Amino acid sequence: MAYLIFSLSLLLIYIGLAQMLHVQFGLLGVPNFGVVGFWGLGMYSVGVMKVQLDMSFVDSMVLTAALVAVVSYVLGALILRLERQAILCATIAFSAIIALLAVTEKWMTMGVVGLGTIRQPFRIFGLEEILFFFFLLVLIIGVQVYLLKLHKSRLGRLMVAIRDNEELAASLGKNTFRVKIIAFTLTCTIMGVLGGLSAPLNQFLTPNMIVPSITFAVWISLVLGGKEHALGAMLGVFVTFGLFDILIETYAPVSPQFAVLVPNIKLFLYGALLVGVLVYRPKGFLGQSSKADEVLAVLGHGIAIIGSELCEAKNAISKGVDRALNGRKTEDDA
Amino acid sequence: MLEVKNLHSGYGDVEVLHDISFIVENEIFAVLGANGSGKTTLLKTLSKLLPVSSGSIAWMGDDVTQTAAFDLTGRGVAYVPQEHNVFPDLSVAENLSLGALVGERSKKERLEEVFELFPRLAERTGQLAGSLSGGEGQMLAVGRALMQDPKIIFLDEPSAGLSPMFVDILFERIANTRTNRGVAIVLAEQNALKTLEIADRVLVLSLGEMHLLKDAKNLDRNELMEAYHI
Ligand SMILES: Nc1ncnc2c1ncn2[C@@H]1O[C@H](COP(=O)(O)OP(=O)(O)O)[C@@H](O)[C@H]1O
Ligand SMILES: [Mg+2]
Repeated sequence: MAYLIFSLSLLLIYIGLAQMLHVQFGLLGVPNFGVVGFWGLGMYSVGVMKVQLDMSFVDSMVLTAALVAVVSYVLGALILRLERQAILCATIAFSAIIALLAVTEKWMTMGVVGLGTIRQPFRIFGLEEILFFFFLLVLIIGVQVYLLKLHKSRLGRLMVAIRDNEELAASLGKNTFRVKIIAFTLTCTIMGVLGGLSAPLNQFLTPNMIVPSITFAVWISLVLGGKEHALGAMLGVFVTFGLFDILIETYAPVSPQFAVLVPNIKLFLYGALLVGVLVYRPKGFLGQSSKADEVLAVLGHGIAIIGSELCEAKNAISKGVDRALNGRKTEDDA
Repeated sequence: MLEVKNLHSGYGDVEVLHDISFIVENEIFAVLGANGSGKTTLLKTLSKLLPVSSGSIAWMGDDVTQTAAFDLTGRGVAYVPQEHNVFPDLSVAENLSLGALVGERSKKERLEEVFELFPRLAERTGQLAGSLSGGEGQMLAVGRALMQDPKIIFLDEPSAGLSPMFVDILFERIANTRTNRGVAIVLAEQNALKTLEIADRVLVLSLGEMHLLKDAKNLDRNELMEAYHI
């Protein structure tokens, strides 16, 4: 039960990240490939403030939001005028820097030793996790309601116009750069806040939590669900994280010898789903038409996942068979 | 209204326009010239989507040489690019309503006027702009510019790629806009003969230089040919 609540809370965090990426990439066309950087910065910021400085949860969240806002505003001012490919590289670099700082700045982060313990903010014995889950749920539903409104608003249309053709949008009479940098700063800050909320969820922080696969998971969810649709982020996270990480990994009935295979099979199915969706619904479950180049890029990613999982699965199978037959540990496990 | 003095501009270090000077009053001002002569570069510079390297642009008495593009739009300048002049992922209605981000009058009033001028757009309000035909797309682009209630429109080769029938309709509507709504139009075109039917004055560019600036009425065809081919 506790594990389920934890997983569902994490699912909500992923939905939030995908919702923010939807605004950045789906609406504005800003390809933020550093999602994990903003999330990780927020998470570590709350961790350091709570553990090292003994601040209250609310204070640390407010200060964290301010910190991430300043960082993303400066980053945005530097990169948002660049071409899309350059923005993509710059944001990847940003998240790599954050991951590195978590390792090297030991005086704050404790480095690879890890930082903890960060307690739940709601101190009601036995109900802490569940209250936190509902708090996240309300937050995510609130964001979703706002997104549905945004799609019907003038601001939403202006964002799509900027994505479609920024030069033409500049002649509509609004400062397009201002729209971009405000939206980028706000959405990155919320990613940071989601990171801050992940700190008490994880309780113990280590630098290897800030891995690019989180960015990819958010991207794939959004692309699968439909990056331009207001509900795409939510649907995408349900079919990826929800279906595979929670349902299959936790509840698939497998005998203990082959349990080791589950993560591989999960990723294999995941890749197959990605390829299938992109072949038959190139703009995601909720998308309409198709744009060949983006589809190909993500399709390549899906095939790569399948390929690497096949290799992994082969190893895992031989290991599993070995274990089942000999009833002893292989060298790898030792 | 619009006064351009010794204008130089281009892309980065490459200068494309050399020493261009002219004044546009409330008229249809045609910019003619062969492919690559600098028409698009001129219109982009006038809309401030390209920086001015030297010289000046004044609009309604104010120096706007360094003004940002979006600011100019607020002052009654509309621009219709040659290509990619609609937002393909938005519907016809959404494209038009983006035109109404500036200006005072109600959106409804403006929409009615645009639909009166281009009834075909009224039939397709829900359709995505990316799926319109070339002619309909051109109408939408001009319609969106009109939604801005502009005092001047920079119109870049609206006839490119259109069937002659569409060109006739479009040019008639352009002339009509000028007469009925008092909007000045700077019209860049390759289609010289068609343009001369509606233009008041003509500027001919060749290799980024001015080769002719004259009233359209007393323009001799040989003179025009000569200016084109230098
Ligand atoms: N983005 C650009 N970068 C560099 N040179 C350009 C660019 N666009 C156009 N040019 C050059 O500027 C000149 C004028 O082009 P343009 O203004 O498009 O002419 P026109 O609209 O009359 O056909 C051409 O020589 C063209 O090669
Ligand atoms: Mg041109």
